Amino acid sequence: MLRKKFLFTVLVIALALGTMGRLLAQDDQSLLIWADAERAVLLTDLAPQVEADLGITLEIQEIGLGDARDQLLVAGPVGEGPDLVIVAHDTLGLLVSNSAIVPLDFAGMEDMLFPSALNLFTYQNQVWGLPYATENVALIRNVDLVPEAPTTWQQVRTISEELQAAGNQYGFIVHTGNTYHNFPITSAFGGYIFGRSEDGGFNVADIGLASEGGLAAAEWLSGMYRDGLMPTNVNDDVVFELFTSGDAAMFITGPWYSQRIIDTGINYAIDPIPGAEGGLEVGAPFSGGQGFVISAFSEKQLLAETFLYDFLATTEFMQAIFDQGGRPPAFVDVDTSANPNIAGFSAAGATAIPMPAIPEMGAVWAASDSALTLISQGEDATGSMEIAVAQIAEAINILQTGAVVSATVAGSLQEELGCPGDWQPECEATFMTDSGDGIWTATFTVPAGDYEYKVALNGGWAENYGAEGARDGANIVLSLAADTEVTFTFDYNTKLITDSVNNP
Amino acid sequence: MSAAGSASSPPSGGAGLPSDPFNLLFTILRYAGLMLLNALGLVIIYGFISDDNLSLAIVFAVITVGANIITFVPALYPLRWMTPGLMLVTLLVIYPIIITVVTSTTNYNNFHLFTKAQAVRLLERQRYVPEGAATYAYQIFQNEAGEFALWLSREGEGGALEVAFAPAGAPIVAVANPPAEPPETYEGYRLLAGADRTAALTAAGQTVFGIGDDTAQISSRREAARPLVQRYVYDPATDRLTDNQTGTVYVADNKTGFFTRENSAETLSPGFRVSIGLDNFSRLVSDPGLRGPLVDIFVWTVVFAFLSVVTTFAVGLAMALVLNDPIVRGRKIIRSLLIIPYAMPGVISILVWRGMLDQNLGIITRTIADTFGVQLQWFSDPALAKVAIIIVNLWLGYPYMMLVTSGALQAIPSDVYEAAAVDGANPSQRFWQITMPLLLVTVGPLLIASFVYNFNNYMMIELLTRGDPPIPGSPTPAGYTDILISYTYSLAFGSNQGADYGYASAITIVIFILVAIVTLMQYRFTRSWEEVSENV
Amino acid sequence: MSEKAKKVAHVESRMVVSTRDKLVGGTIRYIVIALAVIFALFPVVFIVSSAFNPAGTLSTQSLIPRGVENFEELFTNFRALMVDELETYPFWNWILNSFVVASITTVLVVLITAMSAYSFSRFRFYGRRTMLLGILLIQVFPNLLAMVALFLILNDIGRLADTIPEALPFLSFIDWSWIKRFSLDSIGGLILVYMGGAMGINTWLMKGFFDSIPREIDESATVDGATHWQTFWQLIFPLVRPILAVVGVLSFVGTFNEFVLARLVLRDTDSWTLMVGLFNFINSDFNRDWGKFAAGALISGLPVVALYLALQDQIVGGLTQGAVKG
Repeated sequence: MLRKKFLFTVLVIALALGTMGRLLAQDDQSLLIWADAERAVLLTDLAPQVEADLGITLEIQEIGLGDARDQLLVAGPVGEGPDLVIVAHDTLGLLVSNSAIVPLDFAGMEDMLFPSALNLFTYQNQVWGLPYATENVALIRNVDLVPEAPTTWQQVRTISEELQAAGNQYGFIVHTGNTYHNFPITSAFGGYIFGRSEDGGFNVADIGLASEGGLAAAEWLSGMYRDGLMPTNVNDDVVFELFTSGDAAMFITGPWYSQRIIDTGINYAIDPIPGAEGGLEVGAPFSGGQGFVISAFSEKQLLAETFLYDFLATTEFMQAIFDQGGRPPAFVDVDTSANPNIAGFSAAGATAIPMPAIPEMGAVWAASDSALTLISQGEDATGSMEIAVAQIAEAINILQTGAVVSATVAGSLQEELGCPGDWQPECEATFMTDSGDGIWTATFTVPAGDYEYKVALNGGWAENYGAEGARDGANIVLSLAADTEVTFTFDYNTKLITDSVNNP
Repeated sequence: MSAAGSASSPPSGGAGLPSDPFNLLFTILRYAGLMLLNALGLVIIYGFISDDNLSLAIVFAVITVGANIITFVPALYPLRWMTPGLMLVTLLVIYPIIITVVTSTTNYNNFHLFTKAQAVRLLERQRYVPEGAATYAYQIFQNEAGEFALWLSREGEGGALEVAFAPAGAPIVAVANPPAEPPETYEGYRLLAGADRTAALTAAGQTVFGIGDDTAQISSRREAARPLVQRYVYDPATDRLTDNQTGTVYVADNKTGFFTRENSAETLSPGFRVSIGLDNFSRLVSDPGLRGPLVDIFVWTVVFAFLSVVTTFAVGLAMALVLNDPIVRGRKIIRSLLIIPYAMPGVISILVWRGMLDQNLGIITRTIADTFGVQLQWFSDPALAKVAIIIVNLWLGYPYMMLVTSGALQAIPSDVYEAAAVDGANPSQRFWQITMPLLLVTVGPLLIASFVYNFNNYMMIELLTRGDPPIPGSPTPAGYTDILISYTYSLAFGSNQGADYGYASAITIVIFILVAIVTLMQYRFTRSWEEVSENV
Repeated sequence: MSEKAKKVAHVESRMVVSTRDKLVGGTIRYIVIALAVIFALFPVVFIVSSAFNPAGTLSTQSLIPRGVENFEELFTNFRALMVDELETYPFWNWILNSFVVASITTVLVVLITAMSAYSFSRFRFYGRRTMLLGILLIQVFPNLLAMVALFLILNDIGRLADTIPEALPFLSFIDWSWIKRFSLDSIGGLILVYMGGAMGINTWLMKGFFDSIPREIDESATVDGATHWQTFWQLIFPLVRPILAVVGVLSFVGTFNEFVLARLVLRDTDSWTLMVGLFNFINSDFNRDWGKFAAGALISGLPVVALYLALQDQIVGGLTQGAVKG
């Protein structure tokens, strides 16, 4: 009895050893590509053609879009990473700041790509990826229930009231507590996530969820929920069930649901996002995109580039990827006529705002989602949004700084004050004292002369503040006619630096 | 205890029964196996050392030495039984734990992902075309010996074609009166095209052409530069990095993990991992998130873990007892049906439950609404959300308890029951005074483990409620059903971008300490359970 | 020895119950059982219905979304899994991989933990309780972060295949590529990781069970001149079959349904386990293919239920029998 079992065990082990691990053929003309499930299938199908045309052997591994970024950052440095990866555009910030991908150059190819698509893969004024698809949400409307597209959210409310009075359940529904799907409403009323700074980047200190427009949107939502015009606790499945059964006339979704919308058999239209009285004419959804990037860890960047420009960046390949994926294409010449929904989504995307790829965006989602959920549960709209803004500001603060352990008056005056050299944030002789509540002070007797200084935190330059409390801001000038006792003050809450000479 | 004493005296190195040929064979096999293990161990350790991987070399050294000590020291005879287990646990459990502890003292986060060596390597790979360098279009040539050469062409002054031929490791020479197209062969080199060119691209891209001061390198798929220069050069002696393009010198700041420009705040990406001592822990103490509803979350975590254990154990045991009774017909089938929840992947089960409890359309919600006229707000009402979590966790967990208790019930000797029956004990007395104490001997530690598992049951919360409903007015986003680990990890990971492994490790260790205290308290009980069993 | 083993007889056969108790108890039992079965199977019905739902959602509304008249359509997902996916995915490979990983892990875990548990139960040695406590404590360490470490360990082990022949040229006559079979992207590596993780609590479970087996059994054997190994292998091992079966089922289910670590270790589509492949159907933000996932989940549930059916007699009952045979 036992012997038989033992034999069985040996058999299983032998079987396993036979199928265990196999060595991959790694040679100079093979490229390893990480792609999400659908693109992996397509690339696998096209691999023989690539080999015939370019002499490049493709090895495809399936890695979900959500995993690609993190896995690249773990596997890349130890030599296990891919040569090319498909990523979503909002991973660029992190990938670039870790030098994990290499810049691309589409000079001479600009007319082949939609500027909006190329824009998504532009970060810090450089292009980092080859986009193949873009996406944004639009308003889906049951034409039989709502014959004419509403142009403002106020109209949406009126339609909802009428439909409910007529015995239909809901005029409009939206994912509860989901910032991405609710953003077009926020933007229609003039709300935003981050304001823009002069150089075109985001000003993360300006959070627009509780701006006038942001609050107007929140109040509109709150009213819809309060008066029973919108159901709470709505997720993907519920949105769809309600639309399919005719219990909801309008909802917000993106091209990923294209086929399912058609399958409902409902007479539908895809409309741009309504605007708002007192806000914008048309609401702006977030736009997003997927594309190929080349790993900076790859030993075969030249080969990867060749593949990317000579095979991927062609209308033929882009057509193939469109035919399979059904998202609005990034290439101008791709024929989208086979998919009737694309035009609608593209039209709604005309005003779309690229979803910020900056790391600070990570602080937004949870707080904003919470606020939207609370509003759906009848909590005060203004209060909920204001709390969300406070939460985001706090989280960004942590993201940017971490704990403050020390603050240094660092500048050209340090050598005079007993430091081994100037501009040394690690020099303890010019450390400031923590007086509590984020106020740091220091008093030194400074010899006559002209100096410049800043305040550096935690003994390094990673976080430092200059004139007018700006992070990485300009040096502060200190001119002394005679030896003077100067008191320096740094307020961590406002980041403002004062000294007893400039600000007596 | 006398029994235990006699059992623990180790046999003297296999010499116990020399007449037994199996025993001798066993001894020989054991030492032969050990020798093989040692040989392999040494090779692996040497391999890791030569790969500059000291930490794994140490781990394998510990494992190899440990195996030898266990084999040769007679007093460690009991450990021989555990040798394979100990080896695996050391490498795959204890070592990762040590790594977590070490990580908690570093700044390992999304901006400091790499080791310093990795960061330097990434930076040193960057090349640039210096000012005044010539850029050419290029073709790749190769000779019989496999050496590469570049055919460099550009529009010279006055629009004339200017061509140079650059073999690897030999001077670059200008080609006089060049042809408009590169020739098929040139000075023993053959023009590569098509698949040959593709195959050569990677190697040629890493080759330096020319010699001495006059070199050329491929800079992109279209261009070669003469010369192409390494942008950053790291000097380990001074711990500085020089940017050849701008002449800027960056100093490695080993406190913040960045190469920082002298006298400035400018830092280079990527940063690198450095030790920051206990900063992650002090940050944890000062984290505004912890000013939030931490007490509520902690209480709920304990309640959740406790109720999960109690409900699953009660139902599992009840089922095991009921189905132990021979008068129940079809027990085999029923047991198999009851085990099905355990066979389903947890992800889909939890999500199906979420669908069934959905406030708008869920079948459970609608059935209750139709029957009792109450629309239950499963995910908006804090109390109901907690009830939902307990119910779903019960569904997921009771088959495990049923399995374990069914097995454990078998170990209870029946004569104990006979004696009790003679003493006139009723069924309830028999259960509480005999079955339960004896059962706890076997499953007691499992209950602790189950408690701890649920204490950290991140997936359950994340998939079913995501911590919702949110707590209004909390300084950081938090929900009524958040448990300690889901709440603190959202502090450390944000939702998308702010992954901070160092901080998360610190949180992990603090949670571990909390859980360990709870475990130790419960562990004291197992001592009494064990004593029960020794008296059987 | 069989005398003593008989003491450990089954509970149910000796229960003394009156006829009236039996009747009432029986009725209550059936009600309880019926409720339990409904509770257990209700969500499973939903999983079945999602598997039959070609729309690919986790339907919230009805049990059979498309009605019985569309019966042939209900099998779209199974067909998609079994036929269409075969063209794009090595679906049978996945099933085989899962089966191999789970079987080998289970057999080894049962053996290794049984030996450790025997030692903890039968020997009294210095540091025993500390070690037991240690096993429990490392088990409670939140291991979310161990993943990166495990990835690097396997990766570094894989590198040995290249560094050993380089560093020790005189050993290069051996083909060191076998090391790759315990590295990333290999089933061997995954089994290693699973075995490391499965040691702790199973040792405790078995030890508890060993503890409840009377010591006189091994003592008498020792007196007869048997070595510890003989006692363990020929006497105790058969006696503890219920708990071996329990640990076996637990470990098999655990490894068969695990996908977090498997996803980390296995990159190549061919080397995936079933759960990694299935998870891939739902691992995107929007385009989740719940139908296929549910269908696959049902398929993956079958071997587990079958295994349980096969081992049920070992787990419940049959202890006396086992002792006599041993």
